[in-house]
Amino acid sequence: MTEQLHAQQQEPQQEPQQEIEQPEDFTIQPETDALLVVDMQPDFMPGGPLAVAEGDQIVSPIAALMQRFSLVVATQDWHPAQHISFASQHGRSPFDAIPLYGSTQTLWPDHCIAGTSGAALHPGIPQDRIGILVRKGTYRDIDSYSAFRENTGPDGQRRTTGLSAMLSARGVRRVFVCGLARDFCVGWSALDAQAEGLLAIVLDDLTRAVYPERRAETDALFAQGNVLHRPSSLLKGGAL
Amino acid sequence: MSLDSLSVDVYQLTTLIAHAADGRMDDGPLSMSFFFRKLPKQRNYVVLCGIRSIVEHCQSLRFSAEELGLLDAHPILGPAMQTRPGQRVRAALAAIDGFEGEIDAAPEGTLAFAGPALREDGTPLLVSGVPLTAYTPLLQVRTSLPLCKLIETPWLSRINFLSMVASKASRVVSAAQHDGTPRAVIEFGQRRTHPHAAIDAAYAAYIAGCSATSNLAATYRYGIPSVGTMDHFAIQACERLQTPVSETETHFFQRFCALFPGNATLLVDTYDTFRGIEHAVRGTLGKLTGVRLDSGVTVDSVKRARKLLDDLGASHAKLFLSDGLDEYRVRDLAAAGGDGFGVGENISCSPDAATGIGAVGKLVQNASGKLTMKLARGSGKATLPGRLQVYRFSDHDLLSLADEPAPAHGTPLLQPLWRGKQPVSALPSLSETRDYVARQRAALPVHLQRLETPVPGQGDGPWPIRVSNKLAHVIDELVSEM
Repeated sequence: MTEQLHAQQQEPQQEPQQEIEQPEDFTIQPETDALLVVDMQPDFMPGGPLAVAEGDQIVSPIAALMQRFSLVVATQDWHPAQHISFASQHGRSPFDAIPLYGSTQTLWPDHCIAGTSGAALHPGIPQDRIGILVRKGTYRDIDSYSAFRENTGPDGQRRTTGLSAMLSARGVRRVFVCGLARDFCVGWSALDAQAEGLLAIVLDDLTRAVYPERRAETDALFAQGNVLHRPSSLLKGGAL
Repeated sequence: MSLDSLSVDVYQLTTLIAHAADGRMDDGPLSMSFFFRKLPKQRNYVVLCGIRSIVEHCQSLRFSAEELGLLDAHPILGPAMQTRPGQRVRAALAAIDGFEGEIDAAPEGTLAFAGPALREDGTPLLVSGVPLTAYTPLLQVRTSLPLCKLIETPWLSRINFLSMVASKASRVVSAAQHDGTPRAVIEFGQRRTHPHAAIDAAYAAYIAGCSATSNLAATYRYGIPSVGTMDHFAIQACERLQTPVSETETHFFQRFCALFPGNATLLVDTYDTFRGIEHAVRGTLGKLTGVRLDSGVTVDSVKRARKLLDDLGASHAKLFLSDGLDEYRVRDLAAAGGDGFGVGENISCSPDAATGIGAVGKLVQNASGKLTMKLARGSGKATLPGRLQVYRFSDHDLLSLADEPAPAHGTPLLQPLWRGKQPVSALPSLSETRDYVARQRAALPVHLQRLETPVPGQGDGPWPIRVSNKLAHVIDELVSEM
């Protein structure tokens, strides 16, 4: 799975500049920090068709953290019923992989069909805290993991969702990423954020993976993409 | 009762009764010429518009018994209508059943010019030492004296208003397309003018090159495409207590786009233009057709909006601009990235040349067959005598008497429009007229296609108008007689 994530990355990241070692400051900056809450939807939680183990356990702490950021971005997977990522559309089994537009597409159980209750935000997520809501995977023929760009489309391009422009318009320079799932939508979003020139930090305790056993692969990609991953306990300040 | 036939000036009927008293009612046909004596300062050309409407007037010209009864009761005309000459006029009016006579006219949409008359050898033609003004004759009519009286004002009203609008619209369209890129100009002026005039203004704007109008009635009157976007009212009406406007705006955009896919040009400046653009793109999941900016529209804001649309993944979305635009701003905003323009009063009211399009109708040959010209010695307001033809060449016009042999080249502009009680042929379609205007505009010398008018004595001058040797000779003779 993570190979696929790797394949979809844009240009290789530049080597991080060697800087003088200084302690990381994770004090929440209201003007320049945003919290990105990825796909906190019932279909991805235990009991849902594409359940991520323990996905429900991070609802409350994410909801609490949302109170501390002045800008919260939330994403929702939001598919048409005949979405190309659904195994049912290809007569294949879920989790099979097929070649698509020069990349590899993992096929999923039907999930997050636009307008259904399974696609709604989890009721524990305070919607009034959401400043920008990004719905992704809305085109029938393109999947979309990242909050920033669709997966590779028929034209070989990864079309922007516009989130980068919206964050830039608001002066955001750093995003903390949480939600589901660490090895897909959270990971892709963090890597894309970094590629868009933002600083991205995945909050390890506020995310869960589809394949937790392959964590090392994901972490290697994070390192390669200059994405930090840290526990949320390091966050300080914010409007409590 | 439409009152259309009574849309004349009072003097036309008082003088007609006086002519009747003078025994002139059955005089042979007279000739009148309609033309623009000069161009407004801000115009390099005028687009002739009104021929279609004149034909409609010819077809409908008649007086009902009810209308004639109104004349009998008029405080000035009434008493005179009871006299013998008045009764004579009354009978003549009652007998009118549509226009009867001969009309030669330049085709609808012809570009008309005016300027100092030149002799065939290019030297100025002077009358009493003052340069004579020459002009493109637009329309020449030969008919009875009563009909001459009855058509003058209604026809001038049509030509002046419609040509004013068409001429202004042509400038806006050429500004929008100044670099050769086709960009739509939509006529938005209905609310800035009278409702009846607005429908005809939409027609004039369309033949001059506008792509469509916002005026729904114009679609059914003339078959012009009508289009629209939305208003701030629509977005504000969705506001709810306790709900951020970002949400209500997004909701309305989503709803609108679902109902009008392919025609969803979303008005984004109700609250904040750039947030509005985000809402338009995200609310429609990128399916919007375009966005409309209607306030604070500047070169910078247009560039910024274009970049934001592209960054949001909506590079297909068109930028449609309004905000009281005129042709100069349209030219700048087109260069900045505007894809289409909504222009209201600066087409339908032509504020920079609202009165300058001064077509007049003058007697050029009276019933005795004598050629006449208004001399107005020293004023420069002299008119050309006789029935004329005008030949258009690639770089000048040549005016000659109508009965002179045609030159080897050049297109004669005055064509038979009406004979007896009938139009000679069907009028060209609107799209044919529109193409005709566009072709002529593209064929103009570059300096006359610009918005700026030539500065006298500097660089290229106005469109040259030459007068044939024979016509010049007639003018010289008439002047020496007076």
